Amino acid sequence: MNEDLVNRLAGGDRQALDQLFCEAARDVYRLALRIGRDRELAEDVTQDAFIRLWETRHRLDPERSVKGLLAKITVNLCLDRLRQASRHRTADFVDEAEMESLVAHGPIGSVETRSLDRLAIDQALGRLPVIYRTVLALRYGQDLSYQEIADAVAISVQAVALRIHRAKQLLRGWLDRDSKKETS
Amino acid sequence: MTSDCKWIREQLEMKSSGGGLPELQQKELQHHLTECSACARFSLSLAAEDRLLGEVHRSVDDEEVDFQELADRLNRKLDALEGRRTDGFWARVAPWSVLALGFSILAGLLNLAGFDGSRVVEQVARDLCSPHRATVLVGSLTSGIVVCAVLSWLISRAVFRLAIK
Repeated sequence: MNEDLVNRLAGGDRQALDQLFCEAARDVYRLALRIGRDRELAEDVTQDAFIRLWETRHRLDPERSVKGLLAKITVNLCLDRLRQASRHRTADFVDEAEMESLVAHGPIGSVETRSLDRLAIDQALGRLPVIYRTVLALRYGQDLSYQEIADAVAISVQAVALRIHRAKQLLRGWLDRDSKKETS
Repeated sequence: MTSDCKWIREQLEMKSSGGGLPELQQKELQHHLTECSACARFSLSLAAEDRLLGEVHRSVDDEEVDFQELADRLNRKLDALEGRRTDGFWARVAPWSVLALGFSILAGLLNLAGFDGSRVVEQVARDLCSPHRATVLVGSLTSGIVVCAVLSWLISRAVFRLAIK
């Protein structure tokens, strides 16, 4: 399926691109929205991702998944847009002291935080630096493996594991702190 | 909680985030979880966390997005991009090049016939080429045509003189 589609795309078959758009546009949009957290940006990135794929169709490798490649293009486009808008610069790094204070918290699904609703988690995700948000979106939104995430973000598999771990720690800490504030 | 628990929880975290574990470690984990209720609860919590994160990430509201409209816009943009690439260069350059070549041939023929106005026609051919000096490629093409025109004029003039002699 992947090989056939890639061969058709490489051969300049626009119907193959239409087919891929029908199958994957929703995923691309969701990933872009998760990273950029802006609907307009997500729509633009969705369109541009398929244009970029079409423009680079001659270099497509039938052995590699189109889904992974689209994720990579989407991540790059989102980061470019965010960089241009300078929206995430201040949120790129998390204070080490804050990280230390959040280390001891248990998983979000633990007994103390069971009552958390999805909205609270979504808001906490929005507070995450974009580098952490990106790996979580690829892992939980796209179901990509560590290797595929590493390829998409151009970092090592170990760095992916570390980012996911830190992202979860931050989420746990913030959610725990917020729920304690509400109860007190 | 035993001294192994910290290590076991680190392994559980790695496993829950999608990191693979060797078979031996998997067995060790399973064995520990059957004996340590605290770590078993921790494991369940991790699974619940993963489930929650998965649900939140998949629950993106895209109801308002018109994907058909997005597809149409994509196709229009691709059409425009491809049209610009194929038509852009030749559509602008080719007619002027042909016209300039035509004038240069005409200049040569008129010169052969001894008509002094051939210089004027040749000048028109040069002028036709002038708006396309913007790019190197177009510039080299037009200068090639001008050179052709001048050469054809020189050759026809030389032939005419030889004919007089």
